[in-house]
Amino acid sequence: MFALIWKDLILEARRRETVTSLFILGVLILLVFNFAIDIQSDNVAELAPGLLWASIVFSAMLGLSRTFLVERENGCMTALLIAPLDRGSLYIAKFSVNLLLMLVFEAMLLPIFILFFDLPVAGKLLNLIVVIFAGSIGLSSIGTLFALAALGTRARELMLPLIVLPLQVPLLIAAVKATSMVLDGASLGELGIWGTMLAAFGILFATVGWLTFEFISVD
Amino acid sequence: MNGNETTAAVAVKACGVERRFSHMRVLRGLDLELERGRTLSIFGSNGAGKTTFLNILAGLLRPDRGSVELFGETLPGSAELRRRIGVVGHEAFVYGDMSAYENLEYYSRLYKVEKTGRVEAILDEVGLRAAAKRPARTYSRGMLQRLALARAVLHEPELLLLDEPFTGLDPVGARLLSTLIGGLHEQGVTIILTVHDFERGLEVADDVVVLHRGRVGWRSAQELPDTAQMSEIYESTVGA
Repeated sequence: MFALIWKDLILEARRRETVTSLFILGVLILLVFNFAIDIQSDNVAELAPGLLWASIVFSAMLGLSRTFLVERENGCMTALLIAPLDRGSLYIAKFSVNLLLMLVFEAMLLPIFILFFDLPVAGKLLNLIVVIFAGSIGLSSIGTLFALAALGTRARELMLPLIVLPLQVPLLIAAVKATSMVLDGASLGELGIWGTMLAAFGILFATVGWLTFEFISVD
Repeated sequence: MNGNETTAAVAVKACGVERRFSHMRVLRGLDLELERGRTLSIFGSNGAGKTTFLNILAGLLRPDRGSVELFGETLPGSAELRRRIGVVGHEAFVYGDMSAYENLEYYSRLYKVEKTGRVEAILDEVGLRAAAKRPARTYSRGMLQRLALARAVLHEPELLLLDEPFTGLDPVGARLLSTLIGGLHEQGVTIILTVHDFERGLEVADDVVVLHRGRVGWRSAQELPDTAQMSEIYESTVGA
């Protein structure tokens, strides 16, 4: 499993395709929103979370659709499937790489987001990072699970969002609500049902992915 | 010979294997048995089911009907059984942005190869040591095929599956590949290869099979035919 993560990170470090394209798309979305919506200090906490997660989820979709593209080169996916590797481990490795790349992208995007919308994050930044991290686990776990299924279809770039976005709705609602509460000054303990949903979604889909990847990857 | 010895001596046992892709029946009750340490060349026209059969042996496809045993274990086998198999497919299964050394290092970790210096030794064996640090995307077709073979035998498999390994190779590359396959045969590796070139296929084989319409149309007896005889047998079997 660690060999797979090491290989994916080496290839990303050399190609810099995923993080670069995620970052460019993320910034573009924020830029459009910044000019399209009149954000003032009194409505920033209401609007900013939605804009942030819209930017993250659309960019993440681009990255997730590339999850197994690297394995298509020279038939490497076949080599992975015939390797003496538990398919669950294959899922966990790909999920980990996706999560790591998404976190790198978010670390680059967050300062720009704060700057664009002039967000008052003093004393709230750590909680905001925790919420983004929890939301990213959910996005990666479900995206990785269906990225392989979408790879086998002709219009995989279209299929992945079609399958994944409806399933991500509860997660996105929880992420937006939790982000909004954090920007309003709530602590993590005060997030209630939204915090629980965020955490549960990630754990649930990571477990489902680990257990069912065997069946998705055969034939 | 008792039952256990029979099982141990048989590397591959396929019984009544059927496989269809939507409405097309590719394998139609294929029966085949191969002893350990033997090299089997499979000839057959395009669509005869050669690659499908190899994919089933590799664990990439499951038969719709029938069963396949490798070393006495029924497929789909365990991860440990997959460790005993090496596959060379139509593609090299290597990452172009990584060097040959890095590719083999990656596969050695994936297959948990613990032998120190195994990557260097296999690079020497296939004659790629000098180019080991170059990205694989800069390799010629022949070099890629040697790297593919190195990747497939890195973990010292007991069964090696080669799908048209000579395709696209120049005569020098093909001869080198034949020599490498011969060396593996001498080490006791069971080898199954699909091939279109009778001369190359007969050169490395102990047994020969002609697949026709998803079944074994003809199988060699103890003596292998020569190239001219093989051509006649092939034509009479597939009706070309």
